[in-house]
Amino acid sequence: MKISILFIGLLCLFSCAEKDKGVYLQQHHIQLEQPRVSASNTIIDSSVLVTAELRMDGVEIFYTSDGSEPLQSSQKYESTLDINHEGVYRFRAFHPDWKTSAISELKLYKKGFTPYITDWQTNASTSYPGQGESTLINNQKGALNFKDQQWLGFDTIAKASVTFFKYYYVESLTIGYLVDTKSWIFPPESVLVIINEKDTISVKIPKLENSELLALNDVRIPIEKNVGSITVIVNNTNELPEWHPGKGLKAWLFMDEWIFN
Amino acid sequence: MSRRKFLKQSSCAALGLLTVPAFSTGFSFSNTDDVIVGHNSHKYKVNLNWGNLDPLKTPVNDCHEMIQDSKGRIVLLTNHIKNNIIIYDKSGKLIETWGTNYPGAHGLTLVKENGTDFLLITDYERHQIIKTTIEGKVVFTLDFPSETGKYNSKEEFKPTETTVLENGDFYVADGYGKQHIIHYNHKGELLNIFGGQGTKDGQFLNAHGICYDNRDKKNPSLLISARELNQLKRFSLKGDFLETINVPGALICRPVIHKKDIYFAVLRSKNTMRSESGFILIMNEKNEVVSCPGATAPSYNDNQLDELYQTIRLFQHPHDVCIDDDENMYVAQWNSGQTYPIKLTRV
Repeated sequence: MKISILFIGLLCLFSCAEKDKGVYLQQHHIQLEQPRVSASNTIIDSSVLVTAELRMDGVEIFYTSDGSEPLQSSQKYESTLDINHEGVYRFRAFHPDWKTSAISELKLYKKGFTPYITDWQTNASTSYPGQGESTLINNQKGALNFKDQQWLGFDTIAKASVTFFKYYYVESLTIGYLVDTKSWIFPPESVLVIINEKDTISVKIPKLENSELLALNDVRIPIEKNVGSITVIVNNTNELPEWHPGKGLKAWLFMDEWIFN
Repeated sequence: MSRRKFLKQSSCAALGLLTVPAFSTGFSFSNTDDVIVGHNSHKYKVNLNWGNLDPLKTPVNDCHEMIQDSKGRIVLLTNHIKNNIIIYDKSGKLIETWGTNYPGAHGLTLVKENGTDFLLITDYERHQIIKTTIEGKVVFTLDFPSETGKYNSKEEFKPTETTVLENGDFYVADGYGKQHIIHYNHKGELLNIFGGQGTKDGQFLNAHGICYDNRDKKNPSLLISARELNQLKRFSLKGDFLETINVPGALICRPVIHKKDIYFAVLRSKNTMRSESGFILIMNEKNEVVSCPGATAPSYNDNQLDELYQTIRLFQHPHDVCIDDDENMYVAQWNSGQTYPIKLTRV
């Protein structure tokens, strides 16, 4: 008899526990939000200050500075970082009870040569004038919000010629752009660069996958020449893809910086 | 003892299980893996299965608002025109549905008149406020307030919320329109209009929700959210601006007063890469934030609330909360993939 009562009791206890497990959400099913990462500037002159946080008890943040995946064996974020090397910095939050967060990525750029003259041959939209003609060479990157004043917005081709004080050996040109598909802002379709009015380099940018995306991105164009002047022609996406609500119509092109290294 | 533990022990005691202490200690009741969200006095377990229905028979689009009626039933308003109103019991069992012509169903307010329940529905696509019985029969329909001279056409009027006083007067927040607050008597006759779009004290950017605050019986007032400004604003019943309560980082939907506390669904966190970054916010009787289920623990520095933001990916776009008579909470979500409400059980 006693054994029967104990057996029934055990069954009921297990049944109570299992029922609860079924009703209530379990911690290991829920992912931490990714860390909030901010930088004093993303273009490095001497150094920039970078902070990362996820204000929650028990959270630890780990990061890498070479673009690799942050693990708990990576460097632990303890306090504000003073960074003087360009690169891709990736941060991730960990907690013993919750699923590891997605990765927050921060791209830091080395400051480039500043052109002497920038001569625009096409105009930005009057709705998105940025900081005027110097927007793309003011060493300030834009935020994810397209209304940020560091974005220069075009609904057509963007074309400008820049002239330097003297000839510099330019290794590359990096063009920073915004992708915000919900707002019809797409990557450029292609970039054509004319160096010293004779040599041309053409670069095609891969089309986006069939998905919504909000991201800061860039295209790095190898120059590897002594440069006195350079003309840059950036073609916006001429037709939004099939999957987009605005299919067939042209996309916006938003750029925040041209960096000549 | 928490309500949950009490319930468990009560039911087990009824089976005589507490006469077997050896097994009670050997097999703990505690489920340490259960998600517990919130802080301080307001913590909850999360039930994602509550109220799930067959989407082919009883579908939802956005779940916009919820109330508990006088019978204790949970009433959900969705903008799915197969069944704009879905009525559950507290366990999540479907009781009934009605409503097929509220395409912009957004605001849902319970009106109690001489012991009878009525509903005020705001529909921003119809540009109307509709008063119905709890069974769904239309009592009256109110169009845009053309007599105020503030509107050129009905399309400019996109009401999001209402609140009702004891005398039957009610206020409408034009949260998706021109940001006015319009005061009517119980017959629907215009009494006043105030607010409007802007960032000044008495103005709004997205006057998304409004509620009657009679916690201080001598000084009743109105609480109105200015969602894009991350602010809650207090006005007198005559429409005079009284104060602003800042909630940095939180895009608060309507204020919901339950006993002495104010509860908010927060549509999303302000400075974030992801839109699906909402959470819940709870203020005490002093209007201090005491708990934020799904977000950072509230903290103050020099009486200024630190920025709040989502810390776990639990909620997507919470749009309204309903607190039942057991202190449990129901969370209706906008743009969450046509999911049904989430129930939070107070612990």
